[in-house]
Amino acid sequence: MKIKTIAVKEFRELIKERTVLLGMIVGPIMIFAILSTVSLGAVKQVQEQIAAPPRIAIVITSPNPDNTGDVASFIASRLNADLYVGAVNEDELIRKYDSIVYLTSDAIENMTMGLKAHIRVLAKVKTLSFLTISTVQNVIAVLENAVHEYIAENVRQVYPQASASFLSDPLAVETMLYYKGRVMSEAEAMSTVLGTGFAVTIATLILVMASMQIAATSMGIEREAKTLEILLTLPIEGRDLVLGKVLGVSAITLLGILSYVAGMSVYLYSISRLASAPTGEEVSVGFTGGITITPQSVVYIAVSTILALIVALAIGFLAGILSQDVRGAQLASSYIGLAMMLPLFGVFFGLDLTGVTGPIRVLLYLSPMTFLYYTVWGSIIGEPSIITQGLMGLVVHLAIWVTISSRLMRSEEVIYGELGSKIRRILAKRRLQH
Amino acid sequence: MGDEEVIVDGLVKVFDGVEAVSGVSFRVSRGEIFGLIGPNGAGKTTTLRMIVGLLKPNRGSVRVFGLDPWRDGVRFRRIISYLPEDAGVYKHMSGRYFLRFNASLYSDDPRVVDEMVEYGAILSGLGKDLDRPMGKYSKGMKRRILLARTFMVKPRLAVLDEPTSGLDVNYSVAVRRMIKEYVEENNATVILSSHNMLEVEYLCDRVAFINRGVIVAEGTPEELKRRYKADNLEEAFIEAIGGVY
Repeated sequence: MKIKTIAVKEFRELIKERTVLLGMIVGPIMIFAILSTVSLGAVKQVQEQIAAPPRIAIVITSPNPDNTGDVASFIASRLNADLYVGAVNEDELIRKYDSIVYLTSDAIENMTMGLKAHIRVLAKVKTLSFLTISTVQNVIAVLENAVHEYIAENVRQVYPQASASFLSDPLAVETMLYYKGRVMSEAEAMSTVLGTGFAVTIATLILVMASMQIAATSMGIEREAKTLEILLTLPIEGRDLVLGKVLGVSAITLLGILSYVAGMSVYLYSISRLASAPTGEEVSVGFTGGITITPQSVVYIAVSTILALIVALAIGFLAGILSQDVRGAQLASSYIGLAMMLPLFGVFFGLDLTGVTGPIRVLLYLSPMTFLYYTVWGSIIGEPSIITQGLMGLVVHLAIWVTISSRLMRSEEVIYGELGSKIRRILAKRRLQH
Repeated sequence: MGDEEVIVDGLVKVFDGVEAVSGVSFRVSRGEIFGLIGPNGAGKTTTLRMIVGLLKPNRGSVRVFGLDPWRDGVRFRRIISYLPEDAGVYKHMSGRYFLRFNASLYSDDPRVVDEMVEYGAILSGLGKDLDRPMGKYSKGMKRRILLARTFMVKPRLAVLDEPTSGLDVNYSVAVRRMIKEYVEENNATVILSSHNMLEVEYLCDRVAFINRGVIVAEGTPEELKRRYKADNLEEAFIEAIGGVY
């Protein structure tokens, strides 16, 4: 009851702050509106590409009349592609077709002789995303199938001793992407996509940081508005005061979380619509394979995100207790928030942090975001034990930070917010002694 | 000494190696208004903060009806009400909601809460302004709502730091009357600090002069005036601290 009273008061006061409203509710909605529009646009384009089979041109450079005709015709018929022989105007061709497959006479000769063939593919993409890059991979897969068929029908009979590696992987494909009039390598495109895809991590960062700032500011505002002393002499436990405040701020961030989860779901769902997924379930995310988009994994990620956010609020609140004013509280929560977020970047870079040992593991465990990472990572690799570890870790973090904040809330340091200064003084003294 | 509600015994408070309060002791009986008088930096606010449990004394103890501010936590805070000197208000909150918010923390019974809010509304005398955001209140209106909050919960001990600070003459008089009436009607105890000697003389049953963290004299206003052969408390105070410095 008391917690509710404090939470309602906190919510009502903070929701009327213009900066809170903009930062917590309008901000995330805007971010995800943009992110979702981009994702949906990408999905739409992929769907269009799926609906219409890619228009492919096969260009035979330096033709050799002895061997190229049969092979090229075979592949062209399988790809439903138009065949061009000799020099072509690449700009004109890429405007007309979705992909251009360049075959040299050497490559064709290699194919017929059971040797690995080097092929260059130029694929036109309308947007740069994992979706479109994967679509390009589709074209290559179709090409490989055609070559496989050719091998099965012709090469095996002529060269029964052809190596297994050739038979399984007969092509060395150099993929180039044609994006907005510019030709770029696949690696270059990937790094661009990485930058774009960072949006999810950045969105989480913004949400967590903004929430921490509000929590930290909440204490600073009480101190600066001179309402803190009365609040502290009210008949309420320190723990209830902390929880009430945290819940009040949580209520404000609830809309942000909802928009975050909705946006994240749309984003992930749009990825799950990727045509390249053979079963329609496994989709490519980052460099690391597939995330299984099931209702369960969405729930795990949503629950762990909410828990992580509440922990972040408790820590932000602690920063507010330790700081003398609003500015100090915001600064402290920014530094703490950034440090806390580091493990989460592991998700995007596809780093498996679950295997890390020693002092680095201890350091990782200090951040609640490590456990959010665990839950997301567990969902990615479909490992329930890692998801459980993540959820448990978040609960433990919540208990620890709320307890520390509650204790400090009932200490006299909270009046002046001088604990931070005291800690700095002690550290400075130690440095001098050394 | 059985009805002594507040026992302050040898309070010492040190900030960064400097003693702000050096062994302050006094006792206040039920139904008594006790005044703590001293110049700026004398240790009044620090003493009051130790009494209400905001600051922990380095030495000494506080007992209010046998309860310890630090050990008895919520039970202790339920019987006291504190008005800091420079207390502020929540700018987006209406005065009425502020009263309700406070009352809700003292009682879970909605009827009791309603009664408290009603009483607070009367005490504040703010009328329709109670429904306006407190950020738009004048300094005097803010003080009125804070005072109403302090008394509406019917504390057994009210601790008031400069209660009429920032108020005009009219309302200062009204506040003094309110304090006096509240104590008489509820047999409650009040400890207050003030610079205003007239106010102290009018309100307080007993007074302690505090200077440089030490209580230099204690007694009824009449006793102190007699002891220092002074016409008023101001002169008595100057005599007690050994002249103007």
